[in-house]
Amino acid sequence: MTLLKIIWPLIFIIPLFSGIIGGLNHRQSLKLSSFGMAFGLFLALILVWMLDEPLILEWKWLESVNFGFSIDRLNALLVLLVYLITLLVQVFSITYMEHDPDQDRYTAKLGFFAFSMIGLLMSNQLVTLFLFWELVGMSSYLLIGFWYQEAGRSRAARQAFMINRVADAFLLLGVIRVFNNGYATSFTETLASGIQWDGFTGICFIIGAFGKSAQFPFYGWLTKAMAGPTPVSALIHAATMVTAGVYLLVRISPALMDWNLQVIAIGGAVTAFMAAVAALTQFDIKKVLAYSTISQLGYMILGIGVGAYQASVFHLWTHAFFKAGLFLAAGSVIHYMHELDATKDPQDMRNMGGLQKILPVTFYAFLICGLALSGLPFLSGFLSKEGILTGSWLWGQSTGNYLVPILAFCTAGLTAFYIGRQILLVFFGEISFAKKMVEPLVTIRVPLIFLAASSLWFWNSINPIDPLGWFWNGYLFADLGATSDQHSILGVLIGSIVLTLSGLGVAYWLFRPEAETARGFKKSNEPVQLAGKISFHGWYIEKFYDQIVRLFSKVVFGAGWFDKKVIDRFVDGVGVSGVVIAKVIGWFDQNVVDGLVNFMASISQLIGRFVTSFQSPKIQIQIGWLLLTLLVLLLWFQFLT
Amino acid sequence: MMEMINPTYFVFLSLFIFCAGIAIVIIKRSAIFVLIGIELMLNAANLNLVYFSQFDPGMNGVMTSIFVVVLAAAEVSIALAILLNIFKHYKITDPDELTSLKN
Repeated sequence: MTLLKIIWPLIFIIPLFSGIIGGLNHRQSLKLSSFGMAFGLFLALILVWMLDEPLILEWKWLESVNFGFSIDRLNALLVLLVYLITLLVQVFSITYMEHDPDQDRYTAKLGFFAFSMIGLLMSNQLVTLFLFWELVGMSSYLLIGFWYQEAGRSRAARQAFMINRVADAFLLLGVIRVFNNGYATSFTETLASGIQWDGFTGICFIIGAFGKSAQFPFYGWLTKAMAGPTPVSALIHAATMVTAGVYLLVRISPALMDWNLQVIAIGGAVTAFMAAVAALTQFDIKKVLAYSTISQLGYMILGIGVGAYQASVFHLWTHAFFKAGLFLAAGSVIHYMHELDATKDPQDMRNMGGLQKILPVTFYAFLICGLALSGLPFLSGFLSKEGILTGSWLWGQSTGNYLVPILAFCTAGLTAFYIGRQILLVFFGEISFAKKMVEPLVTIRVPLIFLAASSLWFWNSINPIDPLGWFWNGYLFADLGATSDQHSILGVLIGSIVLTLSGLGVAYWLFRPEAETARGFKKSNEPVQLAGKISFHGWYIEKFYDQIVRLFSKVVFGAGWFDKKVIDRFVDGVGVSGVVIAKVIGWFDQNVVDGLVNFMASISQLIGRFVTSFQSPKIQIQIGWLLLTLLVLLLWFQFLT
Repeated sequence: MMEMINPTYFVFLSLFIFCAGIAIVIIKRSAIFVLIGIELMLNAANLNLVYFSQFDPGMNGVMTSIFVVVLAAAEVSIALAILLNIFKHYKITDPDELTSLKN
């Protein structure tokens, strides 16, 4: 226990420290920082291995407001995950960013981001959580806007940040309500007290989590976030930032009311379906993956809503590996396309095709991770998704609400289709450009191989079709009493396999190299039918944001007009009348009060002059006065005595 | 005994001379004239003394007037000496311009 007390602050601070060290060293920044993160990963492994009882650390900040961290098995495991993915991303970036002059800034930002995320995961008090929640938002803003010199990218970063802020405002409101209503202010106390929050507080937290996890209606920011470097997308979308919302919901779900959980389930299902539809028609290799991330996060959220949060955490875990693998593979493809021809858009799938032969390692990594995403048996994604589908099916049976499971199953089929489409379009077909630069370097190969390998089933469960066989299940949920009714149902199992295979089959039929659609794809433009448009524009969510922004700017300009025309006029009137009154008072003061005073002064001056005139230096006048006085005295004695 | 002159005439005469003396003392610029005015005022008083002493068998008035004449002579001689020195020193005789004691 004492060892853990020593290593947890180290784990907490190492990302920041290695970011600073790396950021100060211009040439070797990423390598230096990777060493630091590797050491942190080692410590995190020790933490996961040794942790038994939750560590709770708290100290007072303000009256009745504490700073607090707690480390239990769940967040220890997630911290390990963050370290692992961050390290892989850094190693990958050594090659990916080698020509970038701002490597040091990149390293520092990565370190800061990992630090904020680990702080968020370790937080126990809601105030601390909110603090790191905001830090994560800010550091992701810094990373998305890494190439801030390009106006479009910095604009995208700003938009992503602002959308997050809207949701964060609700989270803050929720935290404030928790304080005002006198609920326990930390996760551990909330869990221990067993008190349920009122519905509105729950909704505030849910909106906050939906914002960070890019759920409807906030998912627009995640596609904006693609403006950042691709390894950053792997980091943000796979393991870290977007899972913060899922993590928060897992933590607070015991305190939520039933209808709140229903909102979560329906929101997650709707998002999963919408994003899967939006991923169908994208041209941008990263946008497909971004929508797929939104869709998979929808699954996790849905899982929490239906009570299958173990499966959600499991999905979070497996998704982190295969989605990081997909993004890094996509990064490798983009890197290659960029080196090949910098004038073309390196992310547009219309320019790709046939990369299978040129980038074999990338291809196999993408294939395995993509099939894991689609949910084929013997891969990790199947296991965790199966758990969520089973949970949603059972929930549908018990509540009679079959919308959620139906959407979840539709999404399973769509997922297989869009990822199959992407694999076929990027890696198959004929090569339309000259070959160059055969294989990516070892720093690119190692993370890809590692992530692809961890997407196989045996890292997670011995039984390739039992979602409850997850090795970490006993470790994480032993004290919560792992529920036994979530073993796979045969119908769900068969249904999901059939849907996945049919999705892949349709994708193969439509986009196999010989097919019409696959050949026409390279010259295709944006879809024109309504359904295609809705999908391509991601349900017009960004247009929707624009409308809201326009509405708000109208309100703001209206308020500005009112301010200028009415309030300013009024204020000006008050000011002018003040000046007028002051002038009148000034005139009165100058002419009446001062006049009186001056009058008195001049009287005394007159008297003074009169009296001093006796004291003349002219001797004859003095004599005259003398005589006059004598005369007066004489007359006085003569007539008045 | 010669006929008595009405005393009112004496009083008015001496009053006139006295006032003329005062006027000269106050008005004239030259210190010499101021001295002359003072002489006039003294002698106006003498005139009264001499006239009214005829009713006094002790002749005190006449005696006083002789004293006054002596006093006047002494005073004039001192005053003239001062004036002469002032004139030598400052080349002025106007008392108004003697302002070196001022301030």
